[in-house]
This record gives sequence, structure tokens and C-alpha cells, in this order.
Amino acid sequence: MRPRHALPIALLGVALAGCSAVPVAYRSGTEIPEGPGMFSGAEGAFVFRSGARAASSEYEEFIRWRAEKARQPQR
Amino acid sequence: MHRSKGAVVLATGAALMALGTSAAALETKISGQVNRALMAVDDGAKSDTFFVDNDNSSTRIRFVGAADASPGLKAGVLFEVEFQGNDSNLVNMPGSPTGPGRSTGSPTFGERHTAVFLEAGWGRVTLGQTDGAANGAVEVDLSGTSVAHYAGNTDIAGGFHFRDNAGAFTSATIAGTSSQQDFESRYDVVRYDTPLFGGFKLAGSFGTKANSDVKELALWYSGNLGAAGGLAGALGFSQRGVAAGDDEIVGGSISWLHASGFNATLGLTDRDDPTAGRDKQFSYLKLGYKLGKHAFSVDFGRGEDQAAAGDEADFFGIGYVYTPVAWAEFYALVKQHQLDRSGASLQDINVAMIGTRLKF
Repeated sequence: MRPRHALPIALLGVALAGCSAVPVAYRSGTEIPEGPGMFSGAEGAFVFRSGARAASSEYEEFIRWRAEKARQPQR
Repeated sequence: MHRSKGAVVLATGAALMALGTSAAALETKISGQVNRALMAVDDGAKSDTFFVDNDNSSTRIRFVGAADASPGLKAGVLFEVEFQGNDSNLVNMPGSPTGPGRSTGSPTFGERHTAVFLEAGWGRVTLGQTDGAANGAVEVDLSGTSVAHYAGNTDIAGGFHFRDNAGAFTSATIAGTSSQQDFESRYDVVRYDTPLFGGFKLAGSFGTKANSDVKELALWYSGNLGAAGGLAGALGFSQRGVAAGDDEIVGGSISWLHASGFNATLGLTDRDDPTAGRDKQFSYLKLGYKLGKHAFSVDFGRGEDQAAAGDEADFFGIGYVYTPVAWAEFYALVKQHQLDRSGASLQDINVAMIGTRLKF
């Protein structure tokens, strides 16, 4: 078997194996590793989360108020 | 293609409008690593040491942010730059016909990714400078030693020239003779990735690189086989339009990590280079063993007909990686490059390297 034929045959094996495998995410070893960082701790990154959920609630409340206001008869 | 570009523009606009009309949960992550090494090289006539940034996985900073643009639709940005001084793939012996010698000068930021993406149940669309669909498809590797050595053998000492028996430099370099031919790397693309189906996903991209249109297509797989361990692989195709025709690469890789720690990796590529007027091949085999904090591997690779018809460029390597904590890796590598060229007698190049990659 020529080496060039080995890969398609191996990938066919992968396809068959894939039928019973549990999918997992592959991450190249040449990328920044997953897991904790020296300074960033357990998250492995400096993470910033906005207060967007609170803002979203306020916005949704505003939308409700505006809709209710629109339903009220104008004086 | 214009139609698909238009669709991306419309989708991006829709996402931005959605962002503008509804507040959304926003999360941004900043991470990075420093990867420095000491490399010793003997080219048969001279030996020297080099303080390098390991190009297998360069010193870099990464910024990722994503937010829910609307129910079921996420919009995000990916920005990543590297900052390398004395890149391990560029330095070479002082006096070489090309190259910087032992130092590349003051480092500058180099763009890796500057892209936006939209993600939903239908998959992900990415627009900007980032990986082509097949980038990395010949480098799938579960050995745990990629930071020391992997299919991209030219990332370490790739700039060195082979010398003839008289000690004179030739034009042949490691990079020019044993490239893994990993498709077209990173460039300006619009890329689509399907969702995962049983561990498989399909990716396609279209873009522009050095004023040439590039198309890439790849099938990626990653799965856990239980007691049989983990398996990952990819099959890719790229086509780049050049003056002489279409420069095409087909190939891929497969890597298996058994639950015992034993692992095996195979990679192959075949490039139809119309400019050179010949096919160029690359083949790669790695066998390794992982046990706890230790990973060890040996590899062998061959580039054929790359710099000149009839060239056979072989390399053999032994790598070791020690990971005492998740954010620190200490590694060592020894390898030898040989070039068999018709009508020439060339000296081997021996390389040894120790270094560390620290994630911050």
C-alpha cells in the first residue's frame, strides 16, 4: 500500500469509528493551551462580563412600560 | 461567490442591528502565553546557539469576545497577535546566503486573527483574517508533545541552509525542502463551519492571499472511543490561483491516543505546484507515550521533490514535554535533518532545543 493511500483508508476507519464515538472538541497543541493560567487563575483567561443581563432586564421592562403606555388612551 | 459575500454582509449587518436594539450578555476573555527556548544547531561546518521564540506555538496574546445578538444568534470577535523575537523558524547561521543570522532584530506584533463571527444552530460564519478551512489539517496531533515537535518541522530551524562537503552554504534550506504543506494558513477569508455531526464537521472558505484567490475545504473529526481512547483527524483541500495555473494541495492527518497513553500520528500531503511544474509530497509519522505529567515521542518525516525534482529531505526527532502544572510546560527536542539531492553531497543539520511555554 502506497503511503498516499494510507490516509484515505485511515479516515474511512475514522468514519466507521465515528459512528460509536462520543464527539469531543479537538484543540491543537500549538494553540494557547486550555486550562488555568499563571496569573489568570482557574478560568485561564482574564474574563470580563458586562452587567448586560441586568441591563437587558431593564430594557425589557422599558419595552413593557412603553407598550402599556401606548395602550392607554391619550388625554 | 459575490452572492455569498453579500449574504455575510447582510448577516453581519442584521447581527449589529440586533445588538443595537437589545442589550445582551457580553463576555470577553484575554489570554496569552510566552514561549522561549534555547536552540543549538550544528550544520556540519559550524555550531552555534540561539535564543529563540518557539514558532511551534509563538508568544502571543488572544482576545475573544462574544455576545447574544438575538435569541439563538451569537456574534463575536477574535483578535490574536504574536510577538516574536528571534523566531525559531527564521534564525540561521551568520553568513548564510539569506536570513537574519542569530537575531531577527526588534520584535513587532504580527497579525494572526482579526475576525468577526456569527454562530447559531446552523453553524458558524467567520469573516476576516483567520485560518483557512483546512489550515492545521495536516497537523492534527494528540501526542501532547506538539510544543516540542510536530508535523510542522520547519517551525524549528527552518531557516538553516544545508552545506556541501566543502562547508559552503547551498541554497537549500530545511523550510524549502521538508515543508508539511499545511494548505494556505491564515489570510483574509469568509469561512463557514457546519455544526458537529457525530464528531464530524465540514468547513469551507474563500479568500485572498497575496493577490490570489484561495478556496479551501476540509472535513474534521474528533471523538472519544471509550476504552480505545481518543481519535482525531482531518482531510483537506486547497486551491490557489497563480499565474501558471491552480496550485493545489490535498492531504490530511490522523492521530490516535490510546487510554494507556500510547499514541500514533500520521500526516500526508501532496501539492500540485504548477509554477514548479511538479508534485511535491510530504509524509509524517509520530509515535509517543503520555504518562501523567510526562509526554515523550519520536517522529520521522520526509519531504519529496519540494525544492528540486528528486530531492528527499528526511528528518528524525525525539521530543519530551513535562507539564508540572497546567499553565507550565518544559520541553526538550533533538532532531536531525538530511537532504539527499542528485549530484550533491550535503551535510546533515543537527538541532537540540530546550524551552518553556508559560500560559498567563
